[in-house]
Amino acid sequence: MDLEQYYDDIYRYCYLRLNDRHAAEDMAQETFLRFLEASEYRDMGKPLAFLYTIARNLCIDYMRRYSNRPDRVSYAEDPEIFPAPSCEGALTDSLALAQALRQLDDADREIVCLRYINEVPVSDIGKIMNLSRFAVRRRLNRSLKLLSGYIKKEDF
Amino acid sequence: MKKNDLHLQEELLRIYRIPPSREKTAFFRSRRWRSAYEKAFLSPEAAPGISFPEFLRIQAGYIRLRNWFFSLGLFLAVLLFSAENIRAAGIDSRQFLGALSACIPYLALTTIAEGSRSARFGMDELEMHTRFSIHSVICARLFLAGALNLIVLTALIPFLCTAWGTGPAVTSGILLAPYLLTCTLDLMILRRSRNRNSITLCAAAGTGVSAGCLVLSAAGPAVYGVLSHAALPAVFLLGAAAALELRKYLRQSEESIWNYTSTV
Amino acid sequence: MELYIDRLTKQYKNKIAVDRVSLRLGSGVHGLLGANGAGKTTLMRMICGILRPDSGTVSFDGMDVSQEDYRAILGYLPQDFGYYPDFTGMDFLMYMASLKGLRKKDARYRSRELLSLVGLEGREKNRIKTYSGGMKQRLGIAQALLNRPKLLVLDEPTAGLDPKERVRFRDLIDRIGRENVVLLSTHIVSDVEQIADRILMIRDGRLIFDGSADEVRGNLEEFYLEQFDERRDDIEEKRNGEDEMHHV
Repeated sequence: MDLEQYYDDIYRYCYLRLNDRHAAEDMAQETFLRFLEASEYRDMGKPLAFLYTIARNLCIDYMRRYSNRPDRVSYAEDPEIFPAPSCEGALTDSLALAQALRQLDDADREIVCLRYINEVPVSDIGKIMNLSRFAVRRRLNRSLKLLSGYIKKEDF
Repeated sequence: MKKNDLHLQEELLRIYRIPPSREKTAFFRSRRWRSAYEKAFLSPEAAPGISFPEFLRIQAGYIRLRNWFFSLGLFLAVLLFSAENIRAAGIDSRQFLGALSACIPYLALTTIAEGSRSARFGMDELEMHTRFSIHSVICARLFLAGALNLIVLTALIPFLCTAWGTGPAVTSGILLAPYLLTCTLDLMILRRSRNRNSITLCAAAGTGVSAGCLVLSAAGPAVYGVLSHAALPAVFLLGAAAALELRKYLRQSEESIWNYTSTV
Repeated sequence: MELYIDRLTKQYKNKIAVDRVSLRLGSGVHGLLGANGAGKTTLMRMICGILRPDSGTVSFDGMDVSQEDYRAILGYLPQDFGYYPDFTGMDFLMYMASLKGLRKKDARYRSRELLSLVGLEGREKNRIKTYSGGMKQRLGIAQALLNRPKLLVLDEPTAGLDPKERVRFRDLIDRIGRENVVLLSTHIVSDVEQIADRILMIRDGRLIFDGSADEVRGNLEEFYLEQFDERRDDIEEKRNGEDEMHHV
């Protein structure tokens, strides 16, 4: 099984959650090591969803543990936050999208990022976030509508 | 992804500004990863490997199709020729059974040919050092190829008895004696000659037995009488002989008795 | 990790092929040097459990050569090997993998990994019939590594390899030797000089030298030939003796 091909995606996902390159690399690597330990992997076809699930849990645990830092106060209350992009220094066109993303709730934001940044299939997103495929589709469509409301119509 | 989706992807990547990872290659080359990977994927405890039944199943896949075709073809041919209307056309039972017995040695030949492929193609030394060693391979092949043949033959016995009216002893003799005799002779030959041409000698032996069957089937009633009495004892004796030869062959395959010439 | 050989002996009708050889091999690359007929292959066959010794024992970390566990950690490349006709390179590796007890998925992954390691990737779907000697040899090396052996026994592994393949092979063996026991036999001194940590010389079934390449005074090749010059001297002496007898 070629697991290396999934590293970049998992790392990107961890970075989105943690906003810290070093931590993201650590969590990504830990994800792969934990994956090997799980005995169910052997008969699995594609390990992708499972890898994301492990990564997700690891990131949440990490946030819980390291939440006493000043910039992460908010995470202590809710380690399951999926960060919105920061608006500082964003170019004006991207600013609109960044603001739009802030309007989404964490789950929706996560779904959008998984689907569009990492190109994770909808069914896998469902497995990762414990939602049905239909729920994922519904949220995704709703999010896209919301986002399109904030962005120039031509771009969409 | 669709064009709009790609656009969104670009935008998202731009605003999230994810730095590229730097530790990927080092991680996958690290000992930490490699030892965990080996432990998970390829150590005997983690990957227990295949069981003997699995092994048999895999070996069955390597038995050449022509063997199955030959066995089944023979079976079907017998059924066909024993059909009412064909029998009524006036084939003498002795002629038919004689012809059938002449085909049996070739059935034995296919079995032996399968079982002896290791030595004939020079794979035996490689097969000797593995977990399922050559002993298992040969046994598996002989068993798999031979089992079907024996089933076919034994199934034919009652069928032929009823269709052609011959006694069970004679019928068994007709079917099993040539089979066991050919097996015995072929195994004896293969013990002495382990190269690619040995199979030709085996084929010759098979043809000899086949010819013998034809001759016997044309023999007079007196001979026939003797034969019917000798049938069952012959089958048992030949069975014992074949078993002995098989044991010798297996033993020789396990411990290779190499010619001390140039390969020391 | 240690291969322990104790007074191993094998005798054929009128000649002793291996004469009370005792060895302890730890991890690393060990080169077995000797002329053809010196006993290398017989010794290796006994180490691989293919040939039963007349006396003596072979064990690896406490496992006797006759045990299935021993065979599970063993990889062997014979001097000469055949293949079932119509087998492709991939077929061959998958077949050997099944004999070594690997499951199909693991076998396929491992086979692909090894094919690229020995430089045969892209050729695995071709029939072995069409392979060159060097390619076939590389396939043989690949098969020996299928089960990640802790004990790797290679009989004349570099025969038929061109210089570039030889270099690649040396690197591979060097890597494997770091954590496993590798025993390779050859009659080409240069092959062994560079990669073997330890040199074993065998003549007439007996171990006549056991040490590192550095321990050899001066050039290994000279030392090696020296051993055989001794033998030549013996033969000449004998012949002179016979001549003398004739004169009398």
